[in-house]
Amino acid sequence: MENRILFGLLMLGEGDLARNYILFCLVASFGVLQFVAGRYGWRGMMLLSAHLSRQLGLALMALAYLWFFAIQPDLFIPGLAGGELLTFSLLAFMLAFLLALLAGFISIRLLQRPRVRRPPKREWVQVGKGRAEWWLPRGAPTIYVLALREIGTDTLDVLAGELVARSAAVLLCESRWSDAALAVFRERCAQFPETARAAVGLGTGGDRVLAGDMVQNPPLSLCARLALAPYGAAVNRHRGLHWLRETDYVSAWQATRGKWSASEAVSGNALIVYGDEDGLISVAEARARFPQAIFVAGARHFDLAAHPPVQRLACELFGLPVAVGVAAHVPCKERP
Amino acid sequence: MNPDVALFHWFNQFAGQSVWLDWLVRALVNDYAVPTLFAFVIGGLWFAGASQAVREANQRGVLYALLGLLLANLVVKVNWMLYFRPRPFAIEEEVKLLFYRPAVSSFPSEPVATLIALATGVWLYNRRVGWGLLALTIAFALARVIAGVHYPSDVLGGAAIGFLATGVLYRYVKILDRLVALVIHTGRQVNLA
Repeated sequence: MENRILFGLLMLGEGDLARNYILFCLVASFGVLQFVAGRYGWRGMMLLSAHLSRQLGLALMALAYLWFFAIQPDLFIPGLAGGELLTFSLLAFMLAFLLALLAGFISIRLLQRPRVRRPPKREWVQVGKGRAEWWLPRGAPTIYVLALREIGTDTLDVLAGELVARSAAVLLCESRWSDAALAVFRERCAQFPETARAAVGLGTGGDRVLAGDMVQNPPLSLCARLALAPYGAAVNRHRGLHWLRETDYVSAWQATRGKWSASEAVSGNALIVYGDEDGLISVAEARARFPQAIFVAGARHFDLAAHPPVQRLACELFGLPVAVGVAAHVPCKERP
Repeated sequence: MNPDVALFHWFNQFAGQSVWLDWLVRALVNDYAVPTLFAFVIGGLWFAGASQAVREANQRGVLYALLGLLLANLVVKVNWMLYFRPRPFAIEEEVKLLFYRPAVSSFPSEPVATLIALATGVWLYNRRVGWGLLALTIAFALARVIAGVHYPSDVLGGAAIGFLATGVLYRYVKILDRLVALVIHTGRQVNLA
């Protein structure tokens, strides 16, 4: 007997045909998406690595076809019509796409999340509509560092944790609250005028670190500034699917919704670092904009701060020991 | 004998001759294998492309494919309202049938029109994938004739409708270009294109 739904517009066919067809489309669509994600590097849709995702995708597509045609013996009697086929396959594809985004989220946020060293002490400070955190070391800090995260992400925390483990005090916040955070930073630094100060930022935070007004009005003496993967030009931050090369969909959404403006020309003593596998800014664009930039092999955009070479660079720049527990060799001095 | 009927019988003679050919024809001709594969390819094509330019081309292809599919289906349905052609198994003698007996008009072939419309849309912007889909559609169309479901002219007519539907939309309906651009732009705003 025919089963119909949606005011009789859609037919469900005999037995479990509709259910099995939807399941078939769901599994095969997920397989297609995993294959395409692996082929073109959409980390925000991949459950596994690129190579394994391609293989998983092909396997799922093959299994889906084999399963459906094995268990559905009545494919040569009238079944679902064109309208039903289109509707069910569309629904299944949309669901498979949501599952792929979820897979990317789980993979990036849970399975591949780099370990962050938690600081011995933390203080929360309201900065405008946002919140900043002071990460404080045991004992007196040897340097104060303002760390500005990319909007919507917290991957800079890895570097912050390493700096704190080496006796730095870090004020960590999202770059969109940088003005308010800078005021808090100045206030703390004013209490300890002899202690060195520095700034580091990732992405939009890097652009903010490079901005000339960072050290003006009133003047703020920073011994060093480290800009990780600054965008430099607004065109590099436009919205689009390319964000899924670097991060999950939720982070991409948050990052592209935050207010941001392109940085001014580099001023003063800033060191600029990019990953040579940055999915948002090409190496050619970065070199054209900042010829003096350093490129770290194998690093992407958001995980740049977690790369050991970048952590070493930061420690050397800020006069911190490269290894934890060792006394600083050279205090941070202003770069020429 | 009508050349169309003669050609139909020539193709249909291969049905029932070989277990493997019958299996292949049934695998191609059913409503689930090839059309669903097209859906998967087109869905995946939306996300394919190493650069934004290539991706946008693929996405344009997908959108024109879907628009062509809608128009092709409309034309086929109107055709059916105006003219009914009996299926080969309904009127020809000694037809070997490897499929169920559809009740709708034999001309034009709606599945072929649909698949050709999709393949043409993709082909306009991605020749490699487009040729692959066209080759698959040709195999599907041949299977339909061999299986005894269509006359050769039915699938040719369906192919012409599908090709023209997408081609006309692409070439002459310029406002669709803006619609396609708007859809892609909207997709980019939500990081999905």
